[in-house]
Amino acid sequence: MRPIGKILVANRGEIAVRVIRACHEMGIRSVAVYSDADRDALHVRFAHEAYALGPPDPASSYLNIERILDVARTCGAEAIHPGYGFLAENARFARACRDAGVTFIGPSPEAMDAVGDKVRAREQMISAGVPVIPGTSPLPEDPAAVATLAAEIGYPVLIKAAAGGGGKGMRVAHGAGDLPSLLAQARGEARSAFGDPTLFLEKRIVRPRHIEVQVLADAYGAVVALGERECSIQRRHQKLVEESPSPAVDADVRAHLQDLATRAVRAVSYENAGTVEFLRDADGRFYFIEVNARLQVEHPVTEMVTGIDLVRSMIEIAGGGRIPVAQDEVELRGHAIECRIVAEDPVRNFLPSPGTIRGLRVPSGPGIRYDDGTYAGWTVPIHYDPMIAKLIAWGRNRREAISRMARALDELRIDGLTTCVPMHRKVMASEAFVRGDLHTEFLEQHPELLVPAADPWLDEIAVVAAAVAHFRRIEARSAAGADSSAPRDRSTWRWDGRAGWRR
Amino acid sequence: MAPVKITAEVGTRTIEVTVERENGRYVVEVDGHRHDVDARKLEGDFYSLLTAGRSYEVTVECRGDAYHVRHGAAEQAVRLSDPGRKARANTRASGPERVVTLMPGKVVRVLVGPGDAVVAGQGLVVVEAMKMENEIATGRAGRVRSVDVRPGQNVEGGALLAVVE
Repeated sequence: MRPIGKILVANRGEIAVRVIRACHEMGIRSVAVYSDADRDALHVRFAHEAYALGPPDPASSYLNIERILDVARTCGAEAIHPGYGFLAENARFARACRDAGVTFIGPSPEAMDAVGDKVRAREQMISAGVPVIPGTSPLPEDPAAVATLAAEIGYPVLIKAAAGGGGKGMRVAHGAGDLPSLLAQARGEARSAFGDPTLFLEKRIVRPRHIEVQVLADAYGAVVALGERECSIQRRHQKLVEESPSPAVDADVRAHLQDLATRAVRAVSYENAGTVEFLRDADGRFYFIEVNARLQVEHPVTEMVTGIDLVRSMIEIAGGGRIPVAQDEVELRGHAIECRIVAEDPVRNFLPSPGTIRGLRVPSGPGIRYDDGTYAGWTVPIHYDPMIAKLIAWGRNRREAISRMARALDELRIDGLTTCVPMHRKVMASEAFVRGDLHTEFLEQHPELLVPAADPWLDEIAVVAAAVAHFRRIEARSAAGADSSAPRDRSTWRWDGRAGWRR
Repeated sequence: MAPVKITAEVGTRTIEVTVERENGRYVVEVDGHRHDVDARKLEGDFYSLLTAGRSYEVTVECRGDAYHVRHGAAEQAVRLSDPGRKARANTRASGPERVVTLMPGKVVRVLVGPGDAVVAGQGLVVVEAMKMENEIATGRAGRVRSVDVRPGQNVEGGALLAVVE
């Protein structure tokens, strides 16, 4: 095996920055790739080398296998880290890397095939003795035929993409009437996100907890489970808040889950970092959902409680190294929480809100970590995922982690965009969250967390601040000379931001 | 400069406000409640406000038709206007509805055509942004007068998609 001296990071945004950081800590040269929309992105600024991929649309850029491999060959990168999303779980890409003599930092294409096809993965888990959720094989085109299958399972049913993950192509149907439109939407999303429109149905477990186990597996047959993460707070089946350990898991349950997860990855001869996801129903039963054959967005919470750098471990394992700890050396210390900062408006049903970051203040202080790919002046492109940053807080226990997260959310300012920061702050203060009473419909059940609280004192301060800013603006204008701006100033309340003025 | 009188809309409240400068400080009266404010404009949109010994660090950002004020993780939009100006009447309940997209993105599907009858809440156009497809619906029932976009077209936030009458 060639030693890894240079790594191409086939991704963008905060995860590209995260991988580049690991490279630099290991003395490895980093290579960024970027689309035309990302020329000014932080990952390009951080990397030792950077090469253009093409137009903004993902198919021409971050999903363009031939172009990415061309860059790797030309610049002499020995390995490629795919991050998550884009090509991270694409077996064809992993295979193309192997054929090109470039080390893919992740599982083998065979293991990826085995877990990537959700239908096959289910069958394999059943034979490995891992419990699964009742569901179907790939769906026929005809909605009427799908309705028959759905009725057999019983509503509500989940429509899922066979090649999918991350909630893309996923919909909930509550009755046969919903099916035609939801199937069309899910197919469209699955086709554009994964290039494969194949769907299947699964019984929807009502109000489950989402609990997953992080594993590392090396080429020498060692498999180590690094505890669990709970990721129950979601919108559109995408996680927003994650933590480790789970408030619903004690030492015995953890041992059981780690055993299931280890069995699951051994069943497919998995190598490198992976995550085995489970749902826990109200009675405490666990069901396997899927293996994510990649690094997860929420990997930092595991890093904070185990002290293991997962990206570094991935690079070491890919280079022929061993897992840095044995199973009996794994110790979960304290508690970590992650809040995903997405450019979406929770008040408007999480409508994407791309724009330019006018001002940015990153929180710091005890127990705080902020992973992002942004800076003041950066325009968040409309072409990619709305997640712009992750805020992670560590504390000796869950209570301390929550209070640190709340404090850090108060410090964080991302001006110019609408983000979910106010919602996260309310979640941290909510009784149900503090109690650890979590499930995947948490936000639907607590809609009050999505909207600003009625706070007369905040209103008063906001009015005072707006009035002062307004007064200063008028003052500045009259100081600049009334002549040129007179027509505009006749009505003082009409300020400059007229582009967005609506009547 | 003479005192400035304004009307502020915040949340569901409408408040009369007067601002003036006195000895380098701002005196802001909110519904008759007087605030004597030492205000400093700092980096970016940041202000430091000191009033009666209390310290508030806020950002004030003028976006669209409102001042967005953030204090800690909380955010409040404040709309200011000349006093006496009537609140903008919302005439959408009757008359034609202009269906717009609030987010920029790409039109992936158009689900209706001119002349089609539609019901309130029916999806008219599917817009994709940040990898999510969003069905934009009409708020009222009626007939589609025009469809103003076509599949594949990029649209800005606020762009007109269709008119329902």
